[in-house]
Amino acid sequence: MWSYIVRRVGLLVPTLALVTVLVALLVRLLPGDAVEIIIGQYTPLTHGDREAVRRQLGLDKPWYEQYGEFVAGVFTGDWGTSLQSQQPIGRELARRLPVTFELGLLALLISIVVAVPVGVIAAIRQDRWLDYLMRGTAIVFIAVPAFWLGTLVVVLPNVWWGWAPPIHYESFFDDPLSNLYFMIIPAAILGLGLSGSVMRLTRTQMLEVLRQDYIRTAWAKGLRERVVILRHALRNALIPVTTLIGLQVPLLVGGTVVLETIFSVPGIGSYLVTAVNSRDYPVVQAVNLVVALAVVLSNLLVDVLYAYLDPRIRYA
Amino acid sequence: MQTREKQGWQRFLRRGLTRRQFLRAGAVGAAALAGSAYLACGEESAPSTPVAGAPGAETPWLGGLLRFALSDVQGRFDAQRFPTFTVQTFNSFFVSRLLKHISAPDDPNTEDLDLPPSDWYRPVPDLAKSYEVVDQVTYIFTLQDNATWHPVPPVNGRPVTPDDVVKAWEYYKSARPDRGVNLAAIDSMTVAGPRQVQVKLSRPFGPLLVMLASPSDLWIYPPEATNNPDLLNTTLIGSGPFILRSYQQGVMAKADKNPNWWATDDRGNRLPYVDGFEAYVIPDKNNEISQFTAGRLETMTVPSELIDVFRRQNPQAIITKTIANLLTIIFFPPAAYEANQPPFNDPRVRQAVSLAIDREALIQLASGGKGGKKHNLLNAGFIWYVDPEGPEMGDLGQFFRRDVQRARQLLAAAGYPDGIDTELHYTANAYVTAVPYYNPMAEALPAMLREAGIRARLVNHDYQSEWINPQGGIFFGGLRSGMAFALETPVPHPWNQFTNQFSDNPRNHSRIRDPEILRLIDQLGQETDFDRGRALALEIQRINARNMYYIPLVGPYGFGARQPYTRAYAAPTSYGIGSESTPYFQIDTSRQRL
Repeated sequence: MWSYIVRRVGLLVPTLALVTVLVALLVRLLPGDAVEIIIGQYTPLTHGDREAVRRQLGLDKPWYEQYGEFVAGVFTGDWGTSLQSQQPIGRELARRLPVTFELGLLALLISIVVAVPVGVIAAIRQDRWLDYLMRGTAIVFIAVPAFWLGTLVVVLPNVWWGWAPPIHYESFFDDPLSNLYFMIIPAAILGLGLSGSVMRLTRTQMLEVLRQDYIRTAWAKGLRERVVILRHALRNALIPVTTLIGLQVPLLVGGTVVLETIFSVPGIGSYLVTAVNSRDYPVVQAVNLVVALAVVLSNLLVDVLYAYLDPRIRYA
Repeated sequence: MQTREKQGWQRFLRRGLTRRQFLRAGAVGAAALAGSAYLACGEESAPSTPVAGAPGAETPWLGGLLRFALSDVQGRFDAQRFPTFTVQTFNSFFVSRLLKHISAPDDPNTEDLDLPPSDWYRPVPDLAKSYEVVDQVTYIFTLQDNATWHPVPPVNGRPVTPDDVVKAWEYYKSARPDRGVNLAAIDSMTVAGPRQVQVKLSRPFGPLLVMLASPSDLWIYPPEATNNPDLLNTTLIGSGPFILRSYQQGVMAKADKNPNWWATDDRGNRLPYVDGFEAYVIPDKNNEISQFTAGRLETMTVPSELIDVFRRQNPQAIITKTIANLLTIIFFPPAAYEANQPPFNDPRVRQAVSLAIDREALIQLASGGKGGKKHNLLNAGFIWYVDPEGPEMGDLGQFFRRDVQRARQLLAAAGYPDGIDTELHYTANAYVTAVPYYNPMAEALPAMLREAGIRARLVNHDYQSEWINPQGGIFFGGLRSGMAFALETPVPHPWNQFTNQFSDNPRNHSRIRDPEILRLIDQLGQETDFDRGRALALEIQRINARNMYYIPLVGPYGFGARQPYTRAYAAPTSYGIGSESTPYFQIDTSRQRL
């Protein structure tokens, strides 16, 4: 098991290196002059002025040199300085990461709370109207993009009832109720989007498990339905579901980028959008590194969990 | 002391009152105006409310919390080091300038801006209550008697001194990335008395007052802030109408009324009227509209494509429409002027291009059917705009109206009876979000031109590498052939724009050298009289229209909205709203939902 983990961790390093190199390259290919955006398009800079600002911001160096400095900084705990605000990126990440983490966690919880019971019910009511309804709903959740649902939630209740989602973010530790009121809507949209595939997989796995001999035995023993379903069937059906939930972290991150913008959530998603728009290269690199780290670590966790649950993997 | 300045203030105030405002304001307003005019004659008594028009007959609504959405400054506070419009706008709430631009009461019964174009961007007192022109190159500014810094550490409400202004000027020169090119004519700024600052110019410089009023340039920061980068990087301290209470990047800013701001209204009420504001960062426009509809915002800007939906959702909202200070133009290759390269060396061909363009259709396209205005060389949202088809342009207005037949005749007369084959260059990847009407306009132009026999192939360029590249970018004189469709960025004064467009400057896109225009620009740069300056600007625009060096196109309306329980002042610019119009914003708190 340990050698498996070491192997996987070993793969993690080149993956992260590749991601950061790609991000550093691609963000510099975006059209638009970082200096013009940062200093102001309407300031009549001469070529010399522009070059001076570029030097001051360290943008005159080749991209690989800027990248090298960034990586070296990360290893020493210095995430660099934002070109826009001239403020430490690490401090901003520390402020925003918990917000995105909370949003992601809430979304994950909502997706599990919705998807697993619905998947189980759909399986035990297979091919009845409830099953069709739930499967249809799952497909809708998968098909409807979060940005569209988010926009509908912002617009329609406002048109019908004059209601709008809250505007002002409060930290959970300052005002838990306000915080949850603020977060619950984007989290629900994100969570429902994720729940579709979890729901379908739960149903499929439950159907497979319910046809197993040991379930038939459980029925034959005269166990109550609740015990058969929850204790014997669901436990085994949830193994692949658990891994799927872990693998959805990238989707979760992608969703937060969009929903944080729509609902004005001050997390790293909206930080990334702003940084891309303003060509704030160090911020884009830093946020992407954090996101990449979150994704590869969650994948690693899933793999390890899967290997732990299924010995065939770890001995392969 | 009868100075030119005092006559100037009086004239600003007198001109600022439109007939409609006068009728609405009635006797009280007229009396207030007369009072202001009278006060302006005295040495120590500049108008307390430097806005156009009377404050209105109604008793002002006092107090309340103003809530609106604001573009995030992303942790940048220093408008000298980061002179972008978001930082400048944010500064305007907290930091003073020597002068500021005039604003006017926003009449809820009309959507038009209640300020005649001739008054747009007029400089009025801010930190300086008055100025004196000693000679053509010497100005003395007298500071407001009761101007103090915010009552927060480390300035703790101490008086603003002339020395502070001088130090702010020195900081401006050292911190600006462009080294203060807009105010390069200022040779020195020195203390000239207990409340006076002397500005010495290296040459007569007519745009000085407009430049000092512009949010693009000199902000008066306390030396305690400019000497302490940590302070200026984390908060804003000034002498403006509001005090920054808190700022969360990407979330919101909270501010309180500055109880010691120098301005009062004509009833003696201290401005601002509101107790404070909350400015939220709301990146999504749909969300912003929803917040407005739910009564959580008092005011907002509405994109033209959403204005119909907005009106349906908010039938009671008071709406104002304005034109953005942004010029759309077509320009020609430098070789047309420098090497007599056909076909655009012939003014008749350039006139034909202008005649082929259906500006009304472009307005409809750009605004989504909401309307707009035809630009002259000074755009329709800019100071001293002159309607290109108005009486001041005389028969030159014909070149701004579509006439395909006449365009074909001009082409034939220039030796192109079968029309011309050419290109229309543009950049498709720069303005998709910021100026969403740019690309559709570029795509519509070739079809219009083709009907007049100008067969223009649309050629797209990458913004970064091919458009604004200082070495040979199309925008900076690198157009080899054909025409280019571009956006001209706004500047504080027409003198800047004309200098850019016609003198030895990278922004002289076509390397035009017209001796008559250069002479007029030189005069404009020295002219201190507003009316004479406007006449010079008009003449330059007439010469341009005659020759069509640059072909001005159109600008669509943009919309602003506020709740029915508010009263507001408005100005054609938004960068200076913090001190120019927000202090006069009033909220009927009995109808406000908090």
